[in-house]
Amino acid sequence: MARAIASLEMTCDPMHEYSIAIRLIDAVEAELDARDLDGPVCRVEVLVGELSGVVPEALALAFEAAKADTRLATATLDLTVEPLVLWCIDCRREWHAQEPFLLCDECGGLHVEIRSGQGLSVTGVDVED
Amino acid sequence: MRIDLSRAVLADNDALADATRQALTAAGVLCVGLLSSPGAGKTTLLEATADAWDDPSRLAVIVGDVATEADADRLRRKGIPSVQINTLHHGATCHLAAEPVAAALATLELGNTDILFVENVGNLVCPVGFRLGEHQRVVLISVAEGADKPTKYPKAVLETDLALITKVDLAPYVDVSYEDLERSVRQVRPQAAMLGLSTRTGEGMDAWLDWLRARRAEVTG
Repeated sequence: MARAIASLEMTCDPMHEYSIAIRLIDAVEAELDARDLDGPVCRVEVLVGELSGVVPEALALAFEAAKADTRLATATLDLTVEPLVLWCIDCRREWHAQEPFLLCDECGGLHVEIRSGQGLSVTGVDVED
Repeated sequence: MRIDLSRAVLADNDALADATRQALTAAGVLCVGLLSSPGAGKTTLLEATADAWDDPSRLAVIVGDVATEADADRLRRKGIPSVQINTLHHGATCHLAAEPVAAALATLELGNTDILFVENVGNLVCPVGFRLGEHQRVVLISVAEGADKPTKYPKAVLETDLALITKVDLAPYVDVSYEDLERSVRQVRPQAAMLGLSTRTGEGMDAWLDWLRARRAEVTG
C-alpha cells in the first residue's frame, strides 16, 4: 500500500479527491437513511466522467482513507469511467472525444454539445442483509 | 441486497447552491463567481470595480484563500463589505464549497447590495465542479499566463459564462495578445462570451461594468 501511495503521488495530488470521497460517503449514507437501512455497505458503484475533473485512481485511494468509522468501512469501490461523448448538431454525428473542444472536426461546425462525460454519480450499492 | 441509485456525488452541494441563488434572486442581488489561477487579478479587478461603481458599499465580496485575511482587508479598504473564508478550516483547501459560502452570506447585510462577488481560491481545476449559488461564473485568464491555458484547463472555459482576459496592457512584454487567448478560448468553446481589460490603463473596464449591469438587470427583472 505504501508503494501504491508513493507512486500515485508522482502523478496526482489526491487532496481534491479526498473532499470528493467524503461527499461520496455522505451521499451513500443519506441514501441509506432515506431507506432506514443500517448497512454495512459492502460495495459502492460510482460513475466517473472523463470530464468530471476527478482522477479515478486518486478517488479510489482517497476513498480507502475516508471510509473508516462509517457504514462503508468495509466497502469496495467499483469505479466505471463514463466516456466524454460529443454531438455535432450540424452533421448529427456523435463521437468519443479525446479533448473537450466544442468543434466538429468532420464538418467544422460550431454547434457541438457534450452528451456525456461530465457526471460524477453513485449508481448503486450492495448492502449486507 | 442490491440498491440501484442515481445520485450525483455533489447533489447536496448543488442543492444548497440552488437555495443560495434563489435567496439572492429574491433579494435582488446578482451573484458573480470569479475563478482563475493565483495572480490573474481577481482582487485587483474587484478593487477597480469598486472605484468605478457609484457606491462601493452596494457591492459585497466573499473571498476564499487557503490562509490569511489579506484579500478581504484590501477590499474593505475600498469600501466593499467583505468576508474572508480560509479553506484550511473547511475540509479541502483547493476550492470553495456551497456550505462555507452560505455561512459567510449569513453574516453579510444584503439589504442594499447590487452585486455579491464570490472570489474563489486561485485554481483553474478544483473550484470548477463546485457550484456556490452564482448567477454568473467568470473565469479570468491573464495574458501573462500564456496563450495555452484555456486549452490546458478546458473545464474552466466550458463551465463558466464569461472568459475575461486580464492584464492586456502587458501583452507587448509577454508576447501573448488578447487575440492569442481568444483563439485558445474559442478552440475549446467557439461561442464563448469574452472580454479583455486592463485595470492599470482602464481599457475594457466600461465593457466589464456594462456586462455587470446587464446581468444584474436580468436578476432584478
